[in-house]
Amino acid sequence: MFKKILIANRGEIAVRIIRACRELGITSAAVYSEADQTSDHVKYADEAYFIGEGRASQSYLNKDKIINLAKKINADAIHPGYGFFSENANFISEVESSGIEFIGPSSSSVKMMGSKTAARSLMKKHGVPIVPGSTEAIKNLEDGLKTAEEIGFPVLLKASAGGGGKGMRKVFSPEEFQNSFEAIQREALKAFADDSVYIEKYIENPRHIEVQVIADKHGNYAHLFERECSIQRRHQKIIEEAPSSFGDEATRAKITEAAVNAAKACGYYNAGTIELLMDADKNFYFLEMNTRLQVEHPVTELITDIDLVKEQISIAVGNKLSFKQSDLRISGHAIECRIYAEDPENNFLPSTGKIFDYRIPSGPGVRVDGGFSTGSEISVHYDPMISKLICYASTRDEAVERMLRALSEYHIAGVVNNIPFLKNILADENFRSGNININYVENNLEKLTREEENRNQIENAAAVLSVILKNQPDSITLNGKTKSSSNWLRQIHE
Amino acid sequence: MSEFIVTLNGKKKKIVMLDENRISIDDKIVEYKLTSLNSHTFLLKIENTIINLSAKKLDGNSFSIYTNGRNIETIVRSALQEKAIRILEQSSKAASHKTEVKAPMPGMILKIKKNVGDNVVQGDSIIILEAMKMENDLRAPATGIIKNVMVKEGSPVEKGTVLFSIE
Repeated sequence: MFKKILIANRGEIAVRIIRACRELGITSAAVYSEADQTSDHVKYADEAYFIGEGRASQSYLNKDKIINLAKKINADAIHPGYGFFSENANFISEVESSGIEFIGPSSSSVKMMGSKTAARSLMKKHGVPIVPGSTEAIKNLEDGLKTAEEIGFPVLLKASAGGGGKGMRKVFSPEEFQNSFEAIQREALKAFADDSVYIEKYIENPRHIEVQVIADKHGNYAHLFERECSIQRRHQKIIEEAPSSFGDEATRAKITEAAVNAAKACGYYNAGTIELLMDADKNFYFLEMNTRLQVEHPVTELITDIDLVKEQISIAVGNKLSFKQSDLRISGHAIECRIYAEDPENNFLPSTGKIFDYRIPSGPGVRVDGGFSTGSEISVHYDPMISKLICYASTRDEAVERMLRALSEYHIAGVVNNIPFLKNILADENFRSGNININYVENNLEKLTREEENRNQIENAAAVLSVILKNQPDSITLNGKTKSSSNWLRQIHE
Repeated sequence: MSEFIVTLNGKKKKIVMLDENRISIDDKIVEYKLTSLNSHTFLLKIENTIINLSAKKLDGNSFSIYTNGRNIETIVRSALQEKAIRILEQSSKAASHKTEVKAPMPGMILKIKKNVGDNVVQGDSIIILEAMKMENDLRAPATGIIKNVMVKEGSPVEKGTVLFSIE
């Protein structure tokens, strides 16, 4: 087993990995930037190393700093979490050659899956269905137009090096094709320093379904069933569940088999995810492979009772999978809500600031994977996710009710957050009946940001509190006792 | 009798402090009790419901209140102040009104979609600000004409930088 792991990440995922290390008796070494001095991962780790200013390029994305630090502190392994260096083949190959273990797949698997076109052609070769379209970059305009007409409009033009919803454009007709093609080439060159573009058929209102796969370095492969991730805003997931409400056993068998084949095709080991699009007739298409731990891994952990982070560490050590495919069953239903510091009523504009009061929900079936608490800062430098709230119950309906209950216990002061918005989704009929696709949030935005029923009560309370704070400070009791001097009130008035 | 008008979310609420445990909200009398948990977090009981709120003072009259996932900004004025403000507002209504839009966070101006002199409708997308690894759409807060654009595409901005104004 490893003695010390350097965690090259921040926020909730760093905390998640630190927790696994502690339970395994491994020393955890956290890294932090100037903006993260008050984040939880710094408080929970055995060791914490300052690595530079807030800008990620100067800290979490500074390859030399991180690898040199790992050597200096004698770390046996680096866990990259998700984002940052997790899917950076150059970083991984440097870690590999430094004699430190990378907790994740090999650099060659990451490279094979990193280019969208290369991955598509690899999948096609191994019998994994892909969205109809080109498997190579489009050479020129005529070539592209021909492909588009063959598969039929509307089509999507995508940057080969793109991802996360960036570098993508929908084209409805041959007339629009030239302009869009040139525009996306420019965008791709600017954003990814690579202007290769490919074509995919536009799938109408698909679901986003993904399969968790895992493999060891001895050639044993398994899948941990599917996750449903159709609830997205700005092409980013906000609610995920497992299993999918869409799943039937026949479809599940097909997608999980395809996912394991996809993992085998790139000689994969460690945890990975095969993302699929599924249309209304349950036809499914390979979208991409995420060669890392996913944000939404907890829902899979809850329904399978497998600790994915511990399993990742064990695989990196060189152990075989701790279970066989035939050991796994889906038990119950899990839902995750991503709690973001953002304002859904203002086009999901991120909110920054110091969290000055924080209370997390608890009780039966509630798990919070968070990275921040009172006094922590949500800074401009990183993704505005505060935590993930995960609820587990024996059925989907119970899990949804539990989530609504848990969300109403959550109190976050200092940044605007999406809790009311998430509640509106969970209470919505279409969500409850499983009638969802990746356009759900966009198509229901007005309804989902509409006033909720207790809004008047909340506004009344805010108005009353404001009047008292301004005029009648002496009428307030502190922890039940009337306080004559108002020290605390001076604080608030600072 | 102390009567106040609280402005929040574009609404006005009339609050009258009656005595130590009674208050009137928009002419409805209710019992209340406020307990503080620490210097900025409170439990407010109105009738039989207790609501958890956290507050921050913004300036002499206004507060930022966090509760139930919401951030509600309030302005408290006495009934008299409110009356004065209303008269002022009415007299200036005839004159043109200029609204400035500031950067909500530091970032980089990715795209400017409107030019000086363009007619815009409230909600129109004006500027794309790249910040926190995302493209943020900054929209027109009012209907009018773009009077000024103070930034250029590609330029970095600090929080609070005035980006454009609408008249």
